[in-house]
Formats: sequence, structure tokens, C-alpha cells
Amino acid sequence: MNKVITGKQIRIWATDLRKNRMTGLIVLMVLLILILSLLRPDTFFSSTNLFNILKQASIVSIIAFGQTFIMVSGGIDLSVGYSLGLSGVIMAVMITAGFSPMLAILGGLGISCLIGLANGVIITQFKLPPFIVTLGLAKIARGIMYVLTRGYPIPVRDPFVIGVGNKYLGPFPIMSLIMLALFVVSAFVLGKTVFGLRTKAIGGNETAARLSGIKVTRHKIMLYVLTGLLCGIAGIIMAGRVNSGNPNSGVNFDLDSIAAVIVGGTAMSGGEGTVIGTLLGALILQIISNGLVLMNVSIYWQTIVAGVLIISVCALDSFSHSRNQA
Amino acid sequence: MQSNYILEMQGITKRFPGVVALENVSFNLMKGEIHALIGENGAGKSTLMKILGGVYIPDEGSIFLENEPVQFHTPRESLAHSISVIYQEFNLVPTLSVAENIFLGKELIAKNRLAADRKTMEAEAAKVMAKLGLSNFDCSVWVKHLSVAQQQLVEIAKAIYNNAKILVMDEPTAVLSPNETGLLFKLMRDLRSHGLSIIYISHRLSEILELSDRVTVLRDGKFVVELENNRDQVHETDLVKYMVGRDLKDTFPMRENLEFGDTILEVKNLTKKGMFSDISFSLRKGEILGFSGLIGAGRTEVMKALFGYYPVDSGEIFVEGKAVHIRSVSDAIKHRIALIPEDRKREGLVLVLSMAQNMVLTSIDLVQRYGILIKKQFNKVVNSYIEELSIRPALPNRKIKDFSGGNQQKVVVAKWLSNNPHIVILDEPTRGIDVGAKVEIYKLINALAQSGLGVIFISSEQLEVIGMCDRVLVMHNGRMSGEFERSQVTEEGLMAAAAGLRALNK
Repeated sequence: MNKVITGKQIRIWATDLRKNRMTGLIVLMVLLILILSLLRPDTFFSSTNLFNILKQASIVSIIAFGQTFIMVSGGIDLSVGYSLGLSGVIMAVMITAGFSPMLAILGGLGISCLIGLANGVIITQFKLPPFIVTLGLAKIARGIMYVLTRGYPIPVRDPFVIGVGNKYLGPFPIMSLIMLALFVVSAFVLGKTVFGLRTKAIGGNETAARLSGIKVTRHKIMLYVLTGLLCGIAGIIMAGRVNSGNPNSGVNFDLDSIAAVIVGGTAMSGGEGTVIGTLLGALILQIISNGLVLMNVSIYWQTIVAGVLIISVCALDSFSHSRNQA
Repeated sequence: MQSNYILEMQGITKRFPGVVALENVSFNLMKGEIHALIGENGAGKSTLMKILGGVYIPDEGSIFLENEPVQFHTPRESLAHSISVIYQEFNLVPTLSVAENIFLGKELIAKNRLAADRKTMEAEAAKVMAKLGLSNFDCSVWVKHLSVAQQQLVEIAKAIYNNAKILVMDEPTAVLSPNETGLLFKLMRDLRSHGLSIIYISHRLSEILELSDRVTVLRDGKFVVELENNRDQVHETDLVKYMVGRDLKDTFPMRENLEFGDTILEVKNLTKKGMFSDISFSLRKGEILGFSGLIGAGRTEVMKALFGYYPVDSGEIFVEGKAVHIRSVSDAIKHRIALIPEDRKREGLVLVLSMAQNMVLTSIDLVQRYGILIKKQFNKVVNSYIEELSIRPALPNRKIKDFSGGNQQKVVVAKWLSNNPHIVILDEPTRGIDVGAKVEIYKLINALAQSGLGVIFISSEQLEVIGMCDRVLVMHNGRMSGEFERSQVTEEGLMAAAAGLRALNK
């Protein structure tokens, strides 16, 4: 009965298990594309539509990259949606007030970083749960937007901003190229750098991280500021896309970003997660909603399908985990 | 098949992917006995008890309760057969009251009302607690406000309330002070005299000999021997021999060279309100300085303050003769201090990270350039530690939580030694690890001192302190209460000082 098992074999199994989630996501995505291509051969599998999906997934992906870092560190950021909205609104307000577009963009990025900074400082200094603090700042950001705009979109006519949101470089939408560039950077930082390793350590065991000499407070503040910056970038792109600083543009992005991260395999409990998983998560969710539109399914049903998907992916994961537990 | 046993486990085999955790193990228990189950880490004790508790389902083998064959598929089924298992991590809800915890899952409902009958539950719970020797216990307080010893009693109360016939206790004394341990033993004997059968897992051999009627030893997932504990015939050395499978001559390896160098660390009047006050001591190069005392005496807190984890209110610290300000852990690391914390899972390791990632956390500068991890360097550092500490299996990318306790402890040590410390603080480094691994840790501590480091060794086990340390300081209630040179230290002296009975005899 006592089979001899070499270290090499165990290592292969271990790698398989770790890669499981990623393989699963890729298989799911390919399956979805195949099924939808068969069902709607003319409309779905066209380059226009596929680029559309990429475009539609770009903004949520950018903030979901930040959300990945936050959730890997054991936190959560509910302010990302309104932080995104506020960035666009501030930029629009500043352009309208006569500032140069560059300065206005910096203003938009700045305000989002500031929200991130406030998140990080309050969470670490008052030792409050991230859920509460970021929920509060989401409300504050939202309030500021409505105070500034009275609820109406502020038009943006700057060609650069509009270009970022709408133009193409060759066949590629510029916003998607920005997203892919940010993806490469985020994936590198989380996977290959000291910063990424420390983020995982903090999420996995904050006490052990602190006792290992990691400056946990500073690190967490940096994470929230960086996520703020990503929200700011997403906000500028969004404003360009809809030609305005719209106070309603951030609605739902908070939960959508969290959904992408979770489907992508990041643990709610922190310590584990990948940026590529998050990107795949965002793409899968987008493919589903795009496919359902093409099949004339009502938008309300799309939301239900997304909900079912989130739960089933995680249930599958949890099931396979508990079966593999030694 | 008739027998006198209340419980028989026969031919139990349990395999996990890649390991055979138990192979054809048999175990039996008589009514009204305390039966110790011992073995090194990974010997299979916990797995066997988890099978009894319904957590794991055995691949082969059978279980008989009072001669009836039974099968447990869930913990609930085991509980329904009057088996209660108290794991090292308690199964209590910290934010529920003592009574609510005892009645969890079978709450009493008030007559004609929808609400739980809190009053009756509290009264019933108080009766159970009184049986355990705690009269007038307030069962309405939240469990999280109780001491560890009291929480343990709540666990026992739960078992009694469930009419447990078999009680399993996994290392119950690991978290208790000597005083509390004494009380627990009294209670266990009391329960035994009322016909309860107790299975008792422990690493403390002297306690086992003191308490148990019979001893079963497991090694590498196999049954080794079952002994009657006739007080005079069984000795600790016998148990060790059965556990490790070879003679273990010197538990405390000797050091050859006992020359000390200059003072490397001096602490003067260190105070933190509510934790400790007026702590002064010094440490020389090459010296092993013991810190003895009861759990909660403030030793760990002093060390964590010294390590920059807690800010202090007043006091001075000198490292190699120079006054230093340590405000954060990274300051302490700069001054070449290392602290190997007492609770490796809670404080020493990031369980979801790999073994390799855990190893480099403290010495990240060795493996990075411009903030980017250099794979080649990374692998080099990690492999050298795997080699040096002989960690098997050598799988650096496997998650640390999938390694045994002894290996995890080695990784914690590696993590800190990779940082080239001059002062090493070890907080209870041998707690909860088996005899073989303990000796390895002792050898390591000796080697550290031999190479000229200053070593501070916190331990609640007096024999260990006496066997290992050149000088021993004792703390009681946040203050220094005794200091002994190697030649003067005795168990009685340490006990008295730990209890605060003796003034500083300098």
C-alpha cells in the first residue's frame, strides 16, 4: 500500500492545483466564446464586437487591478466607483473653469489619490475596518460630485480627453491599450516585486508581517493611494468616453470590480490572488453580458446571470479546495 | 465480540494525497481511565482523534463503542455517540455567553414564547460549572472575556452537558500555567472517578506519567506500544525511546566554550504601563540568558517592546554600548535584533505563502534589486537554508501550512537567521514540538551562542531553562522577581520567583 512518492511528483501536483483556477478561467472563457459564436455567428464573433467587449471591460478592469491589490492585502475598497466618477467630474469642472486640460487631468487624478490617501490613513490610524471607511468615503465622494454638478453631467470637449476614451491606434482602442499597459505593470508588481510579496504577506498574516519588519501602515496607505490613482485614470477615460464629467458614471463599479477580482480567484481572506485572474474575471463577466445583449436577453436578466456566475465559480473553487485538503 | 473496552479502534488506516497518515493503527480505551496518546509531531495522534471525532473518515478499519460497531461521517454523529473532542483551538464563539456556548445548537426555548430561555440556560450552565468546581460562576459573560483556563473549562462543561462518555483533550496544558495545570489535573481525576474515559494528548512526558493510567505510543503513523503506567516501572526515557525509536542520550547538549564577550545589550528601567515596569538586564556575547516565569508574567511583552512592536513609556536600551531608539520592528532589525515569536502560526508565518516566500520576508534585501525579486538570488538563499536546516521534503514552493510543525519552526528560525542578527530572542521556541525537534532547537541555540551571538531564551518549562541557560531571569506580574546564575538555579528557586515569593537576590 505504501507507494513511494518522489518530491518531483508532489511538486507537479502542487503546481497543477495552483494553476487550476487559471486554467479553469481560460477554459470557461473559451467555452463562452465558442458557444456564443455558434449561437450568434454573425454578430458575436466579429472583430468589431470582440474589440467592443475588450473596450467595455477596460474601465472596470483598471479599477479591479487596484481592487486586487487591496483584497490581496486583506482589505476591500468600496469607494472605487465614486472615486472614478469624482475624478472625471473634477477634470470637467476644471476645464470648464479655464484650466489647461493637462492640469485638469492632474486635478482629476489628484482627487482620486486623495480619496485613496484618506482611506488608507483613516483605516490605519483609527484602526477601522476598510469596509466602513471606504463606504464612508464613497458617500463623501458621491456627495461632492452632486454638490459640484447638481446632478447634471458637465460636458467635456477637449479633444485629447475625448480621444483617450474613443479613438483607436490601428485596430486597437486606446483605452484598452492603456488598460493592457496597466495590466502588465500591475501583474509585474504583484507577482515579481518586493512590494507584491509584502502585500501578500500583510493579507496573509498582518502580525507576522509586522514582526518581520514590514512597515504595514505605510504599505497599506500606499495600496489605497495606488488604487485611487487607478480610479483616477479610469475616471478620465470614462469622461472621455461619454464626453462629460458625469456624477452617475461610477455607479456599480465598486461591486463590479469586486466581482471581477473574486471570479479571478483572489481570496476574500487575503494573501492570495493574481492580476491576470482579475483580468480574466472582468473579461468573462463582460463576455456574458455582451452575449446576452446579442441574444436579446433583457438587461435585468443579465444581472441575474452575473450573480449566478459569481456564486458558482466560487462554489466550485471552494468545493475543489475542500476535497484537496489533506 | 465482547470486551471490557468502552472504545476500540481496530486496524485504522488513513491516507492523504502523498502520505499515509495512519497505517493499521489500533487503540482502545477502558471505562473510567485516563489514557495518554503520545508520539512526535506527524506521528498521527491528531489524525486518529479526528477520525474518532468524525472529522475524517478512515480508509480502512473499524470502530466499536461498547462493543457495537459504529461509523462516524460527521462530527455531529460522533457527538451523538457521547464523544467530545476538545481541540487545541477551542470551538467556542467568543461573542456568545458561557451559557449560550454550552447550549449552542440545542438552546432551550421559553414556554409559549419565541425567545431563548436565557435564565434557565444560565442556571443550568452554572450547575454544570459548579460540578467542575467553579461555584457561582457568572455564565452570562462573553467567552472572550474569560482567561484561557476558564475557556477550557467551558469546553469541558460543554462535554459534560452533552453527557460525554469519552472526552478527548489535545494538549490541554500547553496554554496553562503550572497552577492552572494542577487544577485541571485534579478535575480530570475527578471526572475519571465519575466514570468518564479521557484520552489525553500531550508532549509533556512528566505530566503523562503523573496523570495517566495507560499510554499508547504512535510513531510515523504506526502503533508502537501500549503501556500500563505502573509508576515505578515506566520512565520518561522509556517513553522518549518509543517515540523517537532510538536512544536519546543528552536531552540538553553541552556547550564546550563558556567564555562570554562584551555586553551586547543593556536594558535599563524599561516600562510600559499595564504590561511591565522597571525592567533592567544585560546580555553578553555568547551568553544564553533565560527568561522564566508564568504565562502572562510580561516576558513576551518586554521582548516585543525591545523589538519595536510595542512603544515603551520610559526606559533606555543600549546595543553594543550605544544608546538606541527602537520605534519600529525595522529599527530593531537595523540594530541586528531578531525575535522568533512564540506562536509560529499566528505571529511567525504567513500560512498562505510558500515556504520560500516566508523565508525571505525578513531579509528581502538579499534577493531584490530596485524592488524586483531576483529569481536566481532568491533560489540560492532559499536552497541554502533548506540544506542547512535539513528541511524535508525540500519543496520551497509548497505552501508553508502544508509542512509539519517542526519544519515550520525551522522556517521561522531560517527567516530570522538569514538576517545576520547579533541578538536573538527566542520566545518559547520548543512549545508544541516533539522531543526530537526540541533537541535540534537546543543544538541550534547552543550553536548561536557559540558563534558569539547574545541569546535570550524565554521558556515556561523549567527543566529546559535550567538545562540550557547560563543565567536565568524570572518575571512575575510585569516585574523582575529573580536572577540566578547557572550554578545556583533550581526548580524550586524558579518556582518561588515565578510566584513572586522571592526578592531579587543580586
